[in-house]
This record gives sequence, structure tokens and C-alpha cells, in this order.
Amino acid sequence: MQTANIISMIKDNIEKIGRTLRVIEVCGTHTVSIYKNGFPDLFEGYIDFISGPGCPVCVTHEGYIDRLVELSSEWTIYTFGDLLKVPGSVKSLSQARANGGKIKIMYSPVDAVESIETGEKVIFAAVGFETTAPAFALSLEKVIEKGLKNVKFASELKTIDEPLKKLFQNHIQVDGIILPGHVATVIGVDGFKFVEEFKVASVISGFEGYDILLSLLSITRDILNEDFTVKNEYKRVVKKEGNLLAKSYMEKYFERSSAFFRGLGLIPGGGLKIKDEFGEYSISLSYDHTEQKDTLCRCADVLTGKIKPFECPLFGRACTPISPKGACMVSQEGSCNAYFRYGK
Amino acid sequence: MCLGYPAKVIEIFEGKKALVEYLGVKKTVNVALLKNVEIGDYILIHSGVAIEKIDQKEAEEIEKLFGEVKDANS
Repeated sequence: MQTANIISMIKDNIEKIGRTLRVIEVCGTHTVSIYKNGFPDLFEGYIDFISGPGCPVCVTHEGYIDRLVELSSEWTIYTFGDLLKVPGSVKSLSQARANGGKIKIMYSPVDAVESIETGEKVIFAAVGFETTAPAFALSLEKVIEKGLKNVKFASELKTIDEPLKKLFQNHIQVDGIILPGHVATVIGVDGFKFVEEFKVASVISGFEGYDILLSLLSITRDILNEDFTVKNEYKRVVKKEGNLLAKSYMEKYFERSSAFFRGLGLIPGGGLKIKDEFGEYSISLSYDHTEQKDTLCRCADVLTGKIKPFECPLFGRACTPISPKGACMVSQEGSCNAYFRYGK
Repeated sequence: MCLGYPAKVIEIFEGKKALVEYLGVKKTVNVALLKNVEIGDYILIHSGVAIEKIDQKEAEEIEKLFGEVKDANS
């Protein structure tokens, strides 16, 4: 099948449907791929692309950053690089590090355990969705095996199902949803069955341009056929039941908890916390979960499909990737950042 | 954040670790989340951990298609 053929098949199907489709993706890697491949331009008038709350950095509350910044004077904070420049209400982790805060960037939470020095007091900033949670479960297991004391996990891990349910309960108007391929790698096609109740075309997608095109074709077919079963266009990796071993690690160490999502607020069951039986390895960073109101940043509205990045008054003016004002511009996978780099 | 890359297993070590190669770069990763990893398998790595094996036949199909995309763009 030639690429040009797929593109014209998608457009033909949309012409049959007879309206511009609103398609949402909920994964930062998809956001970047869509913009990088120029799909918003390619399908102008055919598909309106919306970025949902699927970038864990973008949905993280500044209160979490503030608490990590405070603790970095006494504890070593291990964090993914993605979180470094997210603004807290006073400063980012990057600024805290410049001011002497003990902050280390990790590539892998499992490898990071090897580099903990004797007696070092460590907090892991555990951020991510179900893709990343098993890596933190393995990391915790290693900490226990090595008998390390004074190593804690500040879990801000998220689950994908509850925020998606809330998006639909808030009546987001979409025709199709591109589901995150690497979350699906862990939770399986079965983990996304709940989407079917919302009566939208849905498809689990890979991340190459070609994967996205195949997924868009699947969405247009499903709309024409009024078929609302979840499809899997990432078969080379995603199984029906997902990765059972990864899920068992998650279930061994984590349980559901409430979690804050920018734009959606506090969502019961939207997060993962360390089980009480492993409580000595957990540190709960309590903070006020209200949305930040004293800012012009419209990241929350971007994440819930209410506005496009360029409709924010700060976009491209006061807020750029070099000088970001909000999480959607900070993250390489944020909608605003991707739009700034690859959009019009 | 949920970024993953496919890599080929070159060597398997004790302690559920494997040496993998991706685009000429070799790296040791954790394979505790996979059953029966063998040398020559392609696996998907996220945060230093292999989260799934890649189905070779499916991947080759896709590769053929990707080749077309590259040709179309060259």
C-alpha cells in the first residue's frame, strides 16, 4: 500500500462521512509525531487534531515540583530530565539545582538504584503512566533487595483510564481517539475496552508517521461502519492481554489512588501509590490540589481540547520553548512545544 | 515520556540483564519483565527496561511499508 494511497483513502472516507473529524491523541509521543509529520496541514479541513492529557509532565501540578524543590536541600532527588524545567510556583528543579539543590537526572529508575551512594538519602520523583510504572516497581524491588534505607518514592504515577473517562464525561466532542501504544503494551487491548462505551472510533497506534496514517484510516473506516470496538494497529508490540508480567509487578507494589491532572482536577483512581505494606519506601508529597488561577497560561484548556495552543495569549510571545511559562511548552512532548516547533 | 525504542538482543547476562544494540549503539538493559528472551530477539525498551518483545513478522511488514514512505520522500 503506497503512502499516497492511504492518504487519499483517508480523505475519501472523510468525504463520505461529510464533515471535518475531531481526532484526539492522548500521548505526547503521538503529539510530536503528528506535528513533525505535518499531518495537521496535510489533513487541513479533513481532520482537526486535539492533544489530550497524555503527557505526564504537562499534567503535573506545580505543588509537586514545589515540594521536591523544598526537599532537595536535604534529600537527593532522582528525576527524569523531562521534569527538570517544569515551573513550580517559586522555581523549577533546574533552578533549584543551580541554587545548590541535590538533583540528579536518571535515564532508568532501575539503573539509578546502582548509583545510590552509601548513606545517601534519596527520593525518586516517580512520574509517568502505566508504561513507566513497571520500571519504578522494578526499581523499588531492587531497593528492597539491596536493603537500602532512606530511599523513598514520591509517586505521581498516573493511570490512563480514569482521566479519559472524565474527559468524555465532560462531554469532549471527538469522533476518534488515537490510543497510546506504549501504555497499551503494558495494559493490553483489553485495558482500553472501557473506551467502547463512549461510542467513538478508537485505535491503539504506534508512533511512526506510517503508524499514525494506518490509525487514521482505521478511525475513518470505523466511523463509516459505526464500529466502536477498540482496534489495534500496533500489533507488532501490543497484545490483547498486554504484558502480564509487567502488570503483576505493578499490582505487587502499587495500588490506585487519587491523582491531579491539569485541566481535569483531582481524579479518584487516576493515580498509583505505593501499597501500605511497602510504606517505608513511600513519601507522600501533600500539596493543595487547586488549579493555579493567577496565570494567563492556558495549558489546562489546551490539554482538554478547549483551545489550540496558538489561541493562548502567551503562545509564541511570552511563552516559547526557550522561555516556557507553562508545562505544555516546557515538555518536549507538550502540545504547545510541538506546535511551536512544527506547527504553522 | 512513554518513549520506547526497538533493539536487538546481542547477549544475555545473569540478573535479568541483556546487552542490546540499536542504531549501532550497544547498551545493557533490564529484561525482568519478559519471559524467555533469546539472542537475536527484538525488544522494546522504555526507561532502561524491556517492556515487550517485538513480533518479527509484523515488524518486517511494517518495515516494508516504511521503506515505501522513505522512497516517497526521497
